[in-house]
Amino acid sequence: MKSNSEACDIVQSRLEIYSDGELSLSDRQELESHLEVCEICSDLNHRLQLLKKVTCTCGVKTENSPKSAAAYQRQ
Amino acid sequence: MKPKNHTHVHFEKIFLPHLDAAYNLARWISRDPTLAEDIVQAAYVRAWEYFERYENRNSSAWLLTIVRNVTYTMLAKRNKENNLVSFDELIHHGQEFSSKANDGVPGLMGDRRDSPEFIAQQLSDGEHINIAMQGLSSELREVILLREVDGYSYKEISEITEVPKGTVMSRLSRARSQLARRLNTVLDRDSEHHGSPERSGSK
Repeated sequence: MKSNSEACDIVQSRLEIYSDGELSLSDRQELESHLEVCEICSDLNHRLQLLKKVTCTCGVKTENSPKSAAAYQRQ
Repeated sequence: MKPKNHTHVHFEKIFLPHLDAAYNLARWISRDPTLAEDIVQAAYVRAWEYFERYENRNSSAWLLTIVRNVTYTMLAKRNKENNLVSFDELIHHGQEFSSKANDGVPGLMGDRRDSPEFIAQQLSDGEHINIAMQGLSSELREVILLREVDGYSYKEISEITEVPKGTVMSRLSRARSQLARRLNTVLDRDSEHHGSPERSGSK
């Protein structure tokens, strides 16, 4: 078993990959087990989730840009 | 003359669902909603011209690669025509919102209304993230947009942006740390509101 700080380093280096859903199943399970017992890493994960939630509001629908849709339809 | 399976109907069925993603990518790279509309139009025309070469690949990645290339080509052309050097829109926006915060009763205007904390409170979350996004370089903006708004995988982003997967991951990481620094106020507030952290991560 790795020491807590070493485990935290590994988890924190993988948090983004985890949050993007790109971690392998076994790595994901290991990381989730750590998050259940580590408040620091869990807080970092929560903060990352908040950032992702705020960032995903950047998209706009082309209904706000009718010219784009209309322009294509004319092609 | 296009082959039979390369009809206009077939083209529309495959590529029209990606119109929002195409517009978003063009808009965020160019930082110009009007130019983005022209870019999308030009990209769809080009996609139609090269439709014979499409060969049932990942349709959104194929289209967005074209959108991205058209965007950079049109930006370079526009900058050359206008002899532009660079334009720091973050500063521009900062001035704009600073003015916004100072609209009001003259007698109440003072140091407090000029403070970054006060200005930050006047902005909605949408304005916060838009300003923070504007401050990123185009290469960071495009990867964060493709990942967080459009939900593309690292592999797909790698195809669209034509850089290795490792570069996508490092750009995403840099984008997030820059955004997090700029959005500290919003993240701190939301962290407090949510109380104990959710133990969630992947989709």
